[in-house]
Amino acid sequence: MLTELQREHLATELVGLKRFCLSLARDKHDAEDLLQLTVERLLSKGMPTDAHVAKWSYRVCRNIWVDELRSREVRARFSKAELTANGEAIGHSAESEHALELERVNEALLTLPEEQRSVLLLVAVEGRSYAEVAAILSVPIGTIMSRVARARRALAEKMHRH
Amino acid sequence: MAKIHTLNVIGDKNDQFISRWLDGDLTDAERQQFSDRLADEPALHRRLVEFQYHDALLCELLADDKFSVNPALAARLAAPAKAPVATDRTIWALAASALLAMGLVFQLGNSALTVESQMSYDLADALESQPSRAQGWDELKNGAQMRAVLSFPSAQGTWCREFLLAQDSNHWRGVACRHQDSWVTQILARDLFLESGEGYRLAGAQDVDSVARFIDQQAVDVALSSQQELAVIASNWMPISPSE
Repeated sequence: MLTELQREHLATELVGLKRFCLSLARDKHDAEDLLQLTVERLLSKGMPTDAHVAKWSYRVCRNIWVDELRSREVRARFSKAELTANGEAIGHSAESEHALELERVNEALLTLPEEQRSVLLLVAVEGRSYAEVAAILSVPIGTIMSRVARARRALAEKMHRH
Repeated sequence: MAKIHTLNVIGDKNDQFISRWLDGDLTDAERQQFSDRLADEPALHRRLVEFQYHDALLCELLADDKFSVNPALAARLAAPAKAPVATDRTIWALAASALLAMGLVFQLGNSALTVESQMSYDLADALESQPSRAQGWDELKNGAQMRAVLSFPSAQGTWCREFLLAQDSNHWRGVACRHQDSWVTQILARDLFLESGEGYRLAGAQDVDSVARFIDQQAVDVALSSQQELAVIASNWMPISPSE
């Protein structure tokens, strides 16, 4: 069972967790399911009173993805509506060059390997340190360091091709 | 911003160095070294700007305002925590239950014994039909108050419920399990809880520990969700099938 403080902290992490779910699942519906499962798991199992709420939550999320959801037949939708805002595709109408750029980086992001995509989002978008991400994903800091660099390089290569 | 094309002449190590700089991972000495190199190596500088630009696109693409969280999910976290117990609760299988007939109490004084026997029918009725809740009380016909806390499956294939009981200044926490169309108290302990911002004070932590330990030993799975519980109540607490 979560303490009141842990619940409050977790509530502030929901947006970031949803972003992380999307980085894992790529599909917005599967991401929603993953987020729901994560919260339900945290509410039912709780966490140690001295646990770092964010790290613990992200780790639970990833474990659920690895252990339970990824093995299912997850529909892989590569449409441009994947990473959407309130149901509307980002850059759906290519009215400006900038909108096109957002669309391109969206597509490039989706084609990255999951391990690179999730690390890149945690570091570059969430602003988490390498140590935090290493703790969340249970891998050495050096691995995080190289994955982030490879993700940025791969993203740059994909953006060049457009 | 105009597109930036960079000849990818910079190796893996440089990309990692740039990446670490962007992420604030360089030491002071490394940062100084990198700054000196930026001034002398235009290609390195272009690569840095390229990575920064893509990072900025990602941040814009995935900005917080582009992610809406299901209000129902957020509400689940905003709900007050259920009544706390003295220990962390991890629910595992096995161990035979120590059956106590309704009316037998555990570590209570005479006044409590009297109240419990008077509430037997009312309590059973409430356990049969009232969903678990995080706050508030169900009024029993004899003036006592009950709150079902959670429901879980036991190793014996029956449903059990943790509940709180209050009358006048007397408070208890207990577990009852369903046996042959009736509810049987398994364990009952003195407790003390306050409402409305005063938080909870546990009197007799050892007593409450015994309830928590009982649940740890008896439950074969996690507590039912609210939806699951409503379905089980609607089924009149059908015994648990082996496939569940």
